[in-house]
Amino acid sequence: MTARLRFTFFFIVFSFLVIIGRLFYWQIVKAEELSLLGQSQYDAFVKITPKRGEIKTSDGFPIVANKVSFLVFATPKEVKEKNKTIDFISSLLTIDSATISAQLSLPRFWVPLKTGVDNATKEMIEKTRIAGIGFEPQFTRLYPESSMAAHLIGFVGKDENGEDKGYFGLEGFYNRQLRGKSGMAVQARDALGRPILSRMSGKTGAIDGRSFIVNIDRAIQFIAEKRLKKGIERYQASGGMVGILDPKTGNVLAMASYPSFDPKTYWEFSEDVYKNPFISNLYEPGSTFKALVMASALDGKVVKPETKCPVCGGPVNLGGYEIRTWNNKYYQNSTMTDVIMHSDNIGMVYAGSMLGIDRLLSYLNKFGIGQLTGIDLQGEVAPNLRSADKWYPLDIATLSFGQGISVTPIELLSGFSAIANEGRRMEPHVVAKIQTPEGETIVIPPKVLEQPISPTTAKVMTEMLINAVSNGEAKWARPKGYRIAGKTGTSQIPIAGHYDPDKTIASFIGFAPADDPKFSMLVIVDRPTTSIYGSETAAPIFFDIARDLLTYYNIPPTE
Amino acid sequence: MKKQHIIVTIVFLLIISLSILQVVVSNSLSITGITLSRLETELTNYQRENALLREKMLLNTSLTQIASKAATLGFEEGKSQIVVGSLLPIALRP
Repeated sequence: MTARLRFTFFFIVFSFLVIIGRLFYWQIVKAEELSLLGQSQYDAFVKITPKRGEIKTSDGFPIVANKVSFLVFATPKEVKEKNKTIDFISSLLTIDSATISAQLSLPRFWVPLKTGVDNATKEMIEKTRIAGIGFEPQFTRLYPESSMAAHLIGFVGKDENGEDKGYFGLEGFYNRQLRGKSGMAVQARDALGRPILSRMSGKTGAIDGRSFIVNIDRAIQFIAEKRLKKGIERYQASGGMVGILDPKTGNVLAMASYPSFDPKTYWEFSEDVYKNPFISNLYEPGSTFKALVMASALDGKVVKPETKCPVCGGPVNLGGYEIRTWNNKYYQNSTMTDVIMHSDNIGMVYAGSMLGIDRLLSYLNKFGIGQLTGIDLQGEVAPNLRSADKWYPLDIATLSFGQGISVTPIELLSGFSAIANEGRRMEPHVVAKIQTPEGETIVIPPKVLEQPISPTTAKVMTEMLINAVSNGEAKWARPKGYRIAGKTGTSQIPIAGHYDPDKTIASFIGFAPADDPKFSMLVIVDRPTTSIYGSETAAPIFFDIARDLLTYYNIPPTE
Repeated sequence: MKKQHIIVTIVFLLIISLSILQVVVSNSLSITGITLSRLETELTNYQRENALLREKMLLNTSLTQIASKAATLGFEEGKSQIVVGSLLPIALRP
């Protein structure tokens, strides 16, 4: 009896030890693995895509917003009537049936069919209640103003991981802030896939992107684009661009270029048009550059507006090359004011030589030539200016009238705007404010970069530029009654070591109203064919836009 | 003896009633999960509807759209403007 009892006792103890050992194995040794296995059965992990920040113009209108679209997917095992489903889906999503058939034949639980499907299409599919087809909401970019300011905005494409990424313009420059941070959501579900209250879905880590309010004035951008487009058509040019700044703050009010692209369907355009030529293309500024050289000479006190040019009676010879005026007309003893009015190359060679290369380069540096302006857009370039010892006498002469030097349009406009702002050069800036998802607003203040010339010189130079507009080659196009300061430019295009005589880049730079400037503007027309001159192509476009802007700002004529 | 019997009965009934309550609450919670799902779907639908309406509003109030519609309706760009300067004696005296 005792033996039987002992056997039973040891048997029970042994059994318990086996159970305890097994429990130890499952609950301690294999705990983590089993926990994950369990979670995979009742928890659904969902990636939360953050909402990309919006880009709003100065009036608060979102020129780039987000719209809800859908990723259509299929769960092949649940698709019942395969052929019918393939036919219906292929016709609605405009995908060929072979592609859908191949996707549905894949040995996968889940296959994507198409992204960016709109709500109407989604509802049409839903109404038919086809088994095995599902939708996942996602955000895509909405452009209410279509392709307006495309070069400024850039576009959103995909990176190597298939994630949204901004390219070019603001989307590229501020991509990290606009995109936000993705997070995860966990939702516990029962055997039928319904959510269980005791384990509510929890979102972690997702932060929406920041929104940007830009200095771009929607109305001005619209006017600039419309006038530029008409001008390019009228003058049968290859392209063109306009940049408009507030010279007192450096705020970019508008920037437009043609040819352009539609950010919504960017892939349908050549990659060459993605770059913003206003900040990325180099060109010879031609006579528009004379304003900077003359302002430097005036500020350096080597000439005055009434200083007479003793060498302006005819062409000058330098290093075996003959320098002429653009129209082969010469004015002996013309004043510096006349030199700017006639856009006299010889007069500019005189002013430049009086200043000397060292001082001229120093002034140009202060005007920001050869440096990045610091504009908050992706893709700005700026080649450095050569050091003083690398300039030959002929180079110095041609530099004085804007040849043999390459600048970007923004570089020139930024430097020129200093004349309109009492000699202060401001940093051009597109973004005015940043709005965080927490409701905080970060204001970007204007930034003074340099004071290349004194306020007195700026005033004198302004008067010379007003005279150039009122009595120069482009006087026929100017709006009557307004004091507008400006300068025409016609630069030839260097091809294989020489200048093409028939192809030019015509431009006009200026600001208005000259006594209290509201805007400074540069218009560039690339290879116009009806006329090669800036005064007959770029200037009328400039004045058309200026006329609209003066009305827009409610500025009455003063003369 | 009788008192003990009453206590045991009360404890037994308490256990039974609490067990039933737990079943009811659990059942209710599991059903609320479905309600929650419905509410979440409804919320998503409203959010989607708002997004779609905002999308329509933005497209209809864009300058591009307004300019295009204005042109279709026959509006023309103003070519001339009248500026009333302070020098003009307009209606200064009756």
